[in-house]
Amino acid sequence: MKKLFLLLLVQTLCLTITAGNINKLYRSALTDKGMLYFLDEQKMPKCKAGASLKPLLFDVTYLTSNDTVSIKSTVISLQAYKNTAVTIEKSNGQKITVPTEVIYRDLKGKGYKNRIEIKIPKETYLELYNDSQPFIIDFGDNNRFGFSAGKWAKHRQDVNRIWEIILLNK
Amino acid sequence: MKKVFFSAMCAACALMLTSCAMTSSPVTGFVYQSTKGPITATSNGLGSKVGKSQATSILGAIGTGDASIEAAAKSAGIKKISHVDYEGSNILGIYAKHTTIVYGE
Repeated sequence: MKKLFLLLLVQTLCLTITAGNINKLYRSALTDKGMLYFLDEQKMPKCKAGASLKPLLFDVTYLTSNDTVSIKSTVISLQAYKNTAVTIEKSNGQKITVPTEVIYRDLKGKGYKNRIEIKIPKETYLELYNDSQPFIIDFGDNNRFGFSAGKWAKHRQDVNRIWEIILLNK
Repeated sequence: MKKVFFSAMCAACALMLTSCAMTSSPVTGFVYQSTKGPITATSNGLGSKVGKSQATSILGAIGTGDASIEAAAKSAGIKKISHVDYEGSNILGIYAKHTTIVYGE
């Protein structure tokens, strides 16, 4: 009886641990314009002394017939987002300014929930993930987000693995 | 020792059977479940946008979140829905998550 219980426990733990497999991080669908890929929502911590109330949540959509990648982000901040561009700071100091489109704004506690879309060229996006050092996204008004080195390594590995299959299927 | 083991088993069974966090699924998985299934489809063609919304439950006692189609469509700015799927996951009835995925344009 004890052995059976232990076996069940070990099996459950194994299933739970292996549940974090990469197939759960993205989904794909066949459209008449090509394959549509959706990389599930990820959390990017806010930079120290940042003004945002919570980490950045972002997901990525890519249609193989396009050369652009759509990144939709949720920013919870004290101020409603009114800017028209974000700045992506690469580890070498290079800054890329990308126009933004607000999908919607909602009230969230004492602050605002801003859903913002940015579109960047696929090559630029892939360059960010070829870098072994993390990039920083600055939404303005001190809403800055970036991965720590440890989290970046895992996130980068997962994203690059997904893009490997996206590019193979193209 | 036997009594302690028996009590622990009873407590575990009571926990699992009386207050389970469950989510909808095409198949049953009491110990572990991670499944996908359809909700609906429309005559609109598959667009280039995907939106998600989710709700979670702990022990079947605390449930939070908004897993509505409306919330998922809104998150991606989808105005024409082509189809809607869902994902359900459940670990030992302790933690359950329901995700609604909307495709459209």
